[in-house]
Amino acid sequence: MTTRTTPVAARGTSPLARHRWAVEAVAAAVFALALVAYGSGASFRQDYVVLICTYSLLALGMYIPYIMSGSLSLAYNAYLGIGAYACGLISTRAGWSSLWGVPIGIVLSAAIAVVLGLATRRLTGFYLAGVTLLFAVAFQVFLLDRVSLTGGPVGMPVRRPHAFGYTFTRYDIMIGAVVLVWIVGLLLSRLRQSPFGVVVRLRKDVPQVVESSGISSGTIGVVSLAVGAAIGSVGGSLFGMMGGVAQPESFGLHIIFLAIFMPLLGGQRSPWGAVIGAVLVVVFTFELHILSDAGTLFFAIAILLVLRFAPLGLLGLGTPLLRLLTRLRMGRTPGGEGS
Amino acid sequence: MDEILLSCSNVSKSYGGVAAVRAVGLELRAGEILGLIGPNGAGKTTLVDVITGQQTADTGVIRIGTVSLTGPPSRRARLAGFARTFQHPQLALDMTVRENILIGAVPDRFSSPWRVLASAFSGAARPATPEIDDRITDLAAELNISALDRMCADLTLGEQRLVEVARALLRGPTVLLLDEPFAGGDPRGVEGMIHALTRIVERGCGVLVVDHNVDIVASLVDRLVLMDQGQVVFDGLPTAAMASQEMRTVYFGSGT
Ligand SMILES: Nc1ncnc2c1ncn2[C@@H]1O[C@H](COP(=O)(O)OP(=O)(O)OP(=O)(O)O)[C@@H](O)[C@H]1O
Ligand SMILES: [Mg+2]
Repeated sequence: MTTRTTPVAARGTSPLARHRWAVEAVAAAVFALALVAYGSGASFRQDYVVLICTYSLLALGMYIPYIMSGSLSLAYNAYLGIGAYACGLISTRAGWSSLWGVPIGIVLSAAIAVVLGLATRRLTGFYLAGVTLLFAVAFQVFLLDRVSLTGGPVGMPVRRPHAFGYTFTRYDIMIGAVVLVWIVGLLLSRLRQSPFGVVVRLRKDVPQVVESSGISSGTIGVVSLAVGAAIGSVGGSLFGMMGGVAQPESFGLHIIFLAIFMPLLGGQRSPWGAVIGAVLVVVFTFELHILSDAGTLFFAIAILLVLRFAPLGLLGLGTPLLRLLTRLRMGRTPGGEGS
Repeated sequence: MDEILLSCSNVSKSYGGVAAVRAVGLELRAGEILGLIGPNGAGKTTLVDVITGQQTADTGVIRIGTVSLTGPPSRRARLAGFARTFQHPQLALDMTVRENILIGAVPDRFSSPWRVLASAFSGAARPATPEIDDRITDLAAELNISALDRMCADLTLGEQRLVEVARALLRGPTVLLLDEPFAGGDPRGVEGMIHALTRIVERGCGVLVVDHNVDIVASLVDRLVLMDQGQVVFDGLPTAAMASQEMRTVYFGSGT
């Protein structure tokens, strides 16, 4: 009935925009290969790379509920802990491969996220933050006190994962961790652009619109929390399998602090910002020996600076640059590229 | 043209001491455009909010067909096939026009927690939705919305209202409620909107239009309801409404 202005296929003008997923996958793969190359040296470097991957999964776990959907859940130390202890328990008590701890951790943390989300569903966001923080502290106490189950302050061993008669080496785990972050990052990036991602992001700014479109804003929030918790739990499993141990001190409240700020530091427009935030945190807090204990302070100052001068995070700084470049190349036609 | 889609009877709503809507009765029929006018603070927005569930009524019943409507807005929107716009446009300003409109096309994919979860997985597997994009492009052309990849922060107020209308239309509603859609709009946008409205009422949709622009409303609607101080003071044909005593009293304070 009306004439179509532009054929859909021709809309993405620059080749960069048209092959955007391939470009993104390759760029991330290059970065992943660099990490693997670095981790192929001395043994401590493998721990280091896995730590980056664990923190990346923690930050990616925050990405959907916190950055996209606007729900601040603070129980991420518990989700990571559940992932690690599930691997420990299943491998030491049941004698199964610790890999089984991964799905168990996913289901358990997602279920807890759903319960905490439903409990605060009718209340404002502050209650979610409060209740999840309470849970985070209670979980910490639980790990220390229930010695018969958790091993108390010393924690419990996590056996090396094995499958089909093959026992994975530390190097294998490192490769697996890097690949996992690559896949989860790409999937989240795609999910962000999909109808699900659009609805979740609309929920953050205009929940009334989500509701009046016939979609329950509460359900969207709760599902986002569950998916985020599941991703965090995988990070915890990874950390436990690499270190060979699950200990309460690894899943303290410092994890919550990192979880809140890593995605903000790296950039909010893309889940890769969360990964960049994780890399920076590991570099700042562990590599800068000169700063030793000042690492955390340094991190705090860096965050303040970023929030003040690049409210969209470090990746956000790239967008105006890219836009400028595209505009110059396209001969100053305004508009042009998608987000 | 006779089937009653939506009916309100004895609906009241107070905010603290302010009686915003008082014992209002209203009917909307299939294929009808109903105009709702009245001075500032008459209770027009409150009535729309109470119908769609953004506010809960203190008394009264809202029915869709014969079913009584209760519960949160999402449930009502699904049951009744509502789509609405807001007097203060509700758009995510740092998202594109296309993204803001898109939500109108997808509510079926999010009708239960499991479907939401499934949408998350299928979205990661296949983010692009060319068939929805085509529909958005067509609708935007009809309403004279250009450059769908602009951020909503860059739009004028009139354009923001058009985007809201597009989002509501994309939903393919049974009952469409528009709160001041013409305010601040440019003539071509208004023309596109009117064209779109006449098209959907031909399909049997019922439309409720709240606006201050009495001229546009009177020429567009089949029936006009005049509200004042929370009450319906006139309900009838636009020509009769324009000539009525109540109209003069409400708008010019003269006559009695
Ligand atoms: N959320 C609210 N809280 C308290 N009072 C409110 C609220 N919303 C509206 N009111 C009051 O209720 C009355 C009716 O307001 P409403 O917004 O429904 O009128 P309206 O006819 O839409 O007016 P306008 O033409 O200015 O949009 C007014 O007195 C208003 O001050
Ligand atoms: Mg109003």
